[in-house]
Amino acid sequence: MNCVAVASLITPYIDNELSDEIKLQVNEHLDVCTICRKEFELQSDVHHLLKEKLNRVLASANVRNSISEIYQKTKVSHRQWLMRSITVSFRPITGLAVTAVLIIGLFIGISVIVKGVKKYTPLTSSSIISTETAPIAQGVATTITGEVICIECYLKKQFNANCDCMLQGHHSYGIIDKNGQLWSFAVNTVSESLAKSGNILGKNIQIECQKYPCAHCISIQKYQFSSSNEQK
Amino acid sequence: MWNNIEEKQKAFQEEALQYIDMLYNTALKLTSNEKDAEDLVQETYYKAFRFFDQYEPGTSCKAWLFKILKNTFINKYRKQLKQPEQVDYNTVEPFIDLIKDKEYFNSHTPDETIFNNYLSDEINEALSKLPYEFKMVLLLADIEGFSYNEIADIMNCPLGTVRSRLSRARRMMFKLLLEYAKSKGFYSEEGKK
Repeated sequence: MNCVAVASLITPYIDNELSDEIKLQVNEHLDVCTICRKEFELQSDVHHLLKEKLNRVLASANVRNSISEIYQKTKVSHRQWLMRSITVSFRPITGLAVTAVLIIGLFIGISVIVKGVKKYTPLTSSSIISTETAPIAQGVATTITGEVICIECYLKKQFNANCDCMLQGHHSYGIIDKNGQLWSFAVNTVSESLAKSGNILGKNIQIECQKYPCAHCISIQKYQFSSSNEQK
Repeated sequence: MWNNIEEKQKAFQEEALQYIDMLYNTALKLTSNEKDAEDLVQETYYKAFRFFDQYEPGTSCKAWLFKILKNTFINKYRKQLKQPEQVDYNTVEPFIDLIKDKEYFNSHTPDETIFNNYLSDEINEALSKLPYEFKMVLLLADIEGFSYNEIADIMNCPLGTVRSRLSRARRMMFKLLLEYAKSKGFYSEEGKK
């Protein structure tokens, strides 16, 4: 092992992030190379200095007490939201508007009762699934082309929705097709390998898949990026 | 998962509260201010409790809490930090000779015992001068003992970046500590005192 190779391994060597075999090779080099040895000693000194000499401060009673307030705060924030909605609805102008709507609703209700209510027919599975949409369990084999997006980021951008992927640290990939329809990926080995294949956001992609239109979900069988012709 | 808020609270207390000192220590190093550190820890726990159902049991709760702490810190101090995910050249510029130039170390080889002279406050002061990205990896690796994988996850950056930032951060610390030693007179370039 030469100095160039060892240079990038000194930090992980100190942090115990190398395999035993590599560690041994680095060690052998450090025994004979003064320059790399100096670099190692410098980093190691700083590492031990921080680890051993830096005082640890205990969180004060203030901080500890503030945690118990959190549970209260979580309850209160929900209550405040409720109170605010109630207060808003009782502002004079809003109150008038609500009263007007109620009166109109009452009139419409009375007229409907007078004319007779149309008989209620419950929805059946045959009335929900139209002939154009496929049964949910089977899906349709199709090819979709579109752009890879993170569905949560996209919704956040469009509707300012909460975006959990910022918190979780990983995107929930999907695609947007040329008609502007969003499709999420069903979990399978191909979609997992796609998600792990580096920065795929914004790339144009062609996907052979089973499409589940009701769920807006596709199960990928094969995909191909339009620009790089990478195929799986 | 939990049938009521009390059960959630109990699970949260058992799982998350044990890391309060560690979080407070890191918050204190990041903000250099007790009041801000307290606020940061409280906000971290508040978010963690609200989204506790998103925490996957069996994974590292400590790493999950540190990730929330880091995100909360960045959101709160975004303006001061400019672009937190990128390292601003101006902040690294004073250290650039050190990062690039191996000559520096060959001409500055302090006695090992010099490091024994430092007190916690002096180390803290040097640490506070580091740019945020470098300070954070040092805190996570050297003080909290996180693995590179966990740091990469917390910092939302590749493993290679963790390694290079850590290496640069230690070199920066070394220079700052050496400058301090020189100013106090227990190290001079001609010879060791």
